[in-house]
Amino acid sequence: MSFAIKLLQREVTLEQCTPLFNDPKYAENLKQLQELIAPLLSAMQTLIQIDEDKCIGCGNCVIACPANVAIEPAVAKGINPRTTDVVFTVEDGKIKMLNLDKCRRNPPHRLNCNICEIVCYSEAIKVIA
Amino acid sequence: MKKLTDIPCTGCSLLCDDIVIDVSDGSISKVYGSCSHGTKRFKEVLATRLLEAKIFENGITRSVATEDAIDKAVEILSSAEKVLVYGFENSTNETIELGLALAEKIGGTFDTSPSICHLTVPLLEKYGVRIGELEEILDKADFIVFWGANLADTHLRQASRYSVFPRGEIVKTGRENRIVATIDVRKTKVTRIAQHQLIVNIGEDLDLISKIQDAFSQESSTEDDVAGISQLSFATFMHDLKNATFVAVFVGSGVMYSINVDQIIENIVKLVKSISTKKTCTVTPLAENLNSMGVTLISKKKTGFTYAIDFSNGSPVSNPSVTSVTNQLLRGNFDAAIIVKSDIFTHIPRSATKQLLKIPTIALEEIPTLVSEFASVTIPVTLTGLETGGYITRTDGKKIELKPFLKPPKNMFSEEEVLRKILSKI
Repeated sequence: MSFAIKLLQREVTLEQCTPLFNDPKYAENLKQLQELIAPLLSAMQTLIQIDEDKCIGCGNCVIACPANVAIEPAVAKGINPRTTDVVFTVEDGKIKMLNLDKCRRNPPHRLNCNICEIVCYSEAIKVIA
Repeated sequence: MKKLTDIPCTGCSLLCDDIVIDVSDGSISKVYGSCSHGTKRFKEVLATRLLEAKIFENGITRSVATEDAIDKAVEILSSAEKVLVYGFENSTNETIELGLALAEKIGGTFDTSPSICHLTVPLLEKYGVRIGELEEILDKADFIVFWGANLADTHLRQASRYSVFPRGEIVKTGRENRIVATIDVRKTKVTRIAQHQLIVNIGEDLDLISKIQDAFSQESSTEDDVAGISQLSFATFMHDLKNATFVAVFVGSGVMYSINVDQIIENIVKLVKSISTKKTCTVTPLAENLNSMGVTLISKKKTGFTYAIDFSNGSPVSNPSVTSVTNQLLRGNFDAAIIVKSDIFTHIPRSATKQLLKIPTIALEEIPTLVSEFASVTIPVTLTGLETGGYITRTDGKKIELKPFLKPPKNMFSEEEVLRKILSKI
């Protein structure tokens, strides 16, 4: 399981599992695995688009974001972040991206999270891939 | 530059108290945490505010000292037979009490802009149902209903600050543990965050309430569509409602547009009372203006009525079909009006507006409005929550103390001070 997690996090490659390549009996498994991880290998960075003009500053994305809560636990209680360490915040009534690199769509998590897009009232956030 | 924390926002009746503001040289440079409505309140009101007192007389408007404008207001009010005392939905609790005292002293009529609170509060008292406090809902509510409430237009941070997304003491994972239902006649922006999106046929709210009541108490389910809602949608809504432990119902101003609004609100309150026998269930009206709930609760406490309160005969009387601002204006009852931080022209029909324009009007305002434009006397007042403190009643009835942080302009009084001066001089 550890190898599988590391594989998903791009810390190891499929080639490092030598039996898969050396033993013909795993050929079918190898083929399936290669198909399974192909989209992951081709994935780019977070690919989040924000339209500030549409944003109404409701803060749904800021409070719902699991990364924001992990970085600043007070956000869990609905409080707008007080530090600039979080992924995003609300400033002057608009969403402001502070640290996109901390978004869970980025390594090491590389999760297909789109909670910010789902909870946005005004469709100001779009995850484009 | 000074960074101020935990400033209560006066942008709407939620009074979010976690706002951070950067202030330099008496102006606001950045606002953190407030929604677009709050930011507009903090940043734009300073640029657009009224600065000069004015008197309109003999077809000419002239700037005067505030004290002179107050004297003119006293003159108008003293010589009038029947005065309309209107507004206060954006005023502090202290100012509302003074407004009621003024109406009583001069035998006038006290009224305010239409609000869902006016109808809901007396019914909650009648049926012994309590208002859901926002902090309790944050911690415990696992089923949230927005009835005729489009938060994305009115109370922008309601879901993120108090109800849907925060993680509570009991509802530890927040959104993942909460079921959200919207009941409305159309799809709104808030339906995006709801699992149950009940679109009810126009005029069939009562039918829906009755079916929910039946399904809840009889453990049975309907085999037909309900008020335009499919049988499947209704059944899954009822399934989740029955499994919930704490149900919080928010009633928005959308309900006010129904013809039988009184009946709908009464039946919602009765439904909540019925659900309360098996689990915790609360109602919270979503007040339209900053202190609509304050006007309602204070008027109720002082007079027994929530709006359209007439003091002509000494003791307070309220019969909205006779004593409301519109009905009395149409009958030509008033010969003067004092309007406190309220754009009455947007609340009453045009026929009543015409009557209002015929009588001398005194406006206490922070910013230019149609009222300040047409008033006989305009008295600018300091900005509530920015320059002047006091208490505002949040939409759930909790009193929030304001934390003013700016110095008001010289020779400008607060709305409270102006009313005190008028009261002492009459």
